[in-house]
Amino acid sequence: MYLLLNMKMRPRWIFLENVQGFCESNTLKIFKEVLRLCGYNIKQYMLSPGILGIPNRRMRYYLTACHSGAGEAVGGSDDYNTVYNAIDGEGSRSACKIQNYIEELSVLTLLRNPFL
Amino acid sequence: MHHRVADFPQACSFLGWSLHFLLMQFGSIVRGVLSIADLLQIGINNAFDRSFDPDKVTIVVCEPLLLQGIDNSHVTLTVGTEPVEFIVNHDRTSGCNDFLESRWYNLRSNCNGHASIGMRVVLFKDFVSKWGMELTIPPSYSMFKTKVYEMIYNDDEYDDDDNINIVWNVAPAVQSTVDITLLLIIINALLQTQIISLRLHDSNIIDLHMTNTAIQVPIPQLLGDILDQFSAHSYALSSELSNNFIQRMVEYINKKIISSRGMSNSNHLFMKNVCSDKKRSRYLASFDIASSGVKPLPEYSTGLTVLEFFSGIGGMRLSLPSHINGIPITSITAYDCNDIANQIYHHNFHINHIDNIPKSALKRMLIDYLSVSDVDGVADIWTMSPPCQPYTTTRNSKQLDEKDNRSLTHSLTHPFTHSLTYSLTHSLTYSLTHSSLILDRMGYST
Repeated sequence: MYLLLNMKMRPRWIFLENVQGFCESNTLKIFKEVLRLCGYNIKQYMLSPGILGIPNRRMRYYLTACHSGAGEAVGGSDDYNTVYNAIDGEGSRSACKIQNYIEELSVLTLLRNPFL
Repeated sequence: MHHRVADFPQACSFLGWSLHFLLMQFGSIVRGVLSIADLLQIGINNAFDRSFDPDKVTIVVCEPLLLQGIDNSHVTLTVGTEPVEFIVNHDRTSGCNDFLESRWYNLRSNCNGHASIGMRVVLFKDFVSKWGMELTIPPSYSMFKTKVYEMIYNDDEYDDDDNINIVWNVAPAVQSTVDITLLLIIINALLQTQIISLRLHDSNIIDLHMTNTAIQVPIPQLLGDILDQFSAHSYALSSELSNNFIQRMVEYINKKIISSRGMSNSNHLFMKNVCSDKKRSRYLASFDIASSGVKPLPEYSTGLTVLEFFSGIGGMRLSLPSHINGIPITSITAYDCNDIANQIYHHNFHINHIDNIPKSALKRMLIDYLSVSDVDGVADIWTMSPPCQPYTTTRNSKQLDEKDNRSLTHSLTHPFTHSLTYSLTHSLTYSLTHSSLILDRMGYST
């Protein structure tokens, strides 16, 4: 992070991913502050594959930062506090059932080949 | 003030013992000046050397590092098999090169001329004044510690412009504090004798290559010689030294050379510097983010550059699109300190010719070792997936958060460019004080 503070030509975009627990961590607070001081607008998300219809629940925190070109972040400070939280099943494509991905074995198939 | 309390084997008390002794013998410490250098010099010269400049004392404390070469701006030390480059601290005001010039205090004035022996302490005045490293020493040095704390934290008596502080952060996993100190002494001594290079030779001997001579000195002998530089009362210490200590020292070096850092199988070492309360204002004032530059958007032909941190096996890489805003991604550099992960990444992405990305590099590197110039103006995009272990909420998770060595804030502790960056053992703790300091700076109440 000190790299960011000291650079003259910062990256235009920063993308960070971490586990759910990161969202409330001190590290993130510090990092967000650093980003704010460096002039990034950020968006935060809490996402899970479930919202894309994949039958997996794996909440992950994502942070996207885009440099505003200005000294301090021009976006509202709201951005730094808001996390768009996408809980499985809410406002998203409904998750497929895992059965959709698994071939259904008929009893007959099993009888024919018990080792399947 | 937070510091680790750890168990130190008996042998490590020898230095503490000697320091205690020295303190007792030369009870009055020169006002505003207290350092290991002082004490050692007192020990060696048996008197306080008036030529000693109290404004310029700083001590660099580091793990056993092997010196490779010095030029005017860089020192490369090899830690185990990893070369680590130190950028020399430049005095911003005078422009002088602190590291290599007269700020070496020769503590070997009583030396019998043995070229490899002597004690000198590396001085980084700016480093101190910017960073004011916290004194963290094992409890066995309590007297020393008290003294120094008084000096540092008593506003009336202490002017941090002129001061020495540094001590060292010692990881509890380190077997012996004194090992570090002594090896530091060794290295410093070697530096001032124009040792060109130093190589640890089967962990029991150091190869010293000086300008015209090459000699081999067994480490125990070095220690013994150094010990001889202490005052006469150090005989007892000598015997204590010989008491299994040398063997342990050797084992310790061995261990450090081959030790791994958790999953990463790397020999990287870390260190935390902590600002005392007094130094905070200076630390904060030196923050200069007035320049809010961002790398300009490149042309279509140039393409975007991506820096991938903590690249792992390449999960994040998979998600990278081929174009952003119509500009293709043409260069990806991935950093990870884990060899095995790097191999997998390489297998997955066939570095140097993947997809339509002509320039792709995979570097085994600790984020900590990157300097500003490494990354300044290089990339348009940074992606990272930092270690999540400090934050996981599963049962048994440690939840060290920023205190974990692997956390992002770890890299915040590094000094600015042109300051010395170095490392200590991987299990070093991250001082609570420092995190509080950072958070305070950021406006959070701690």
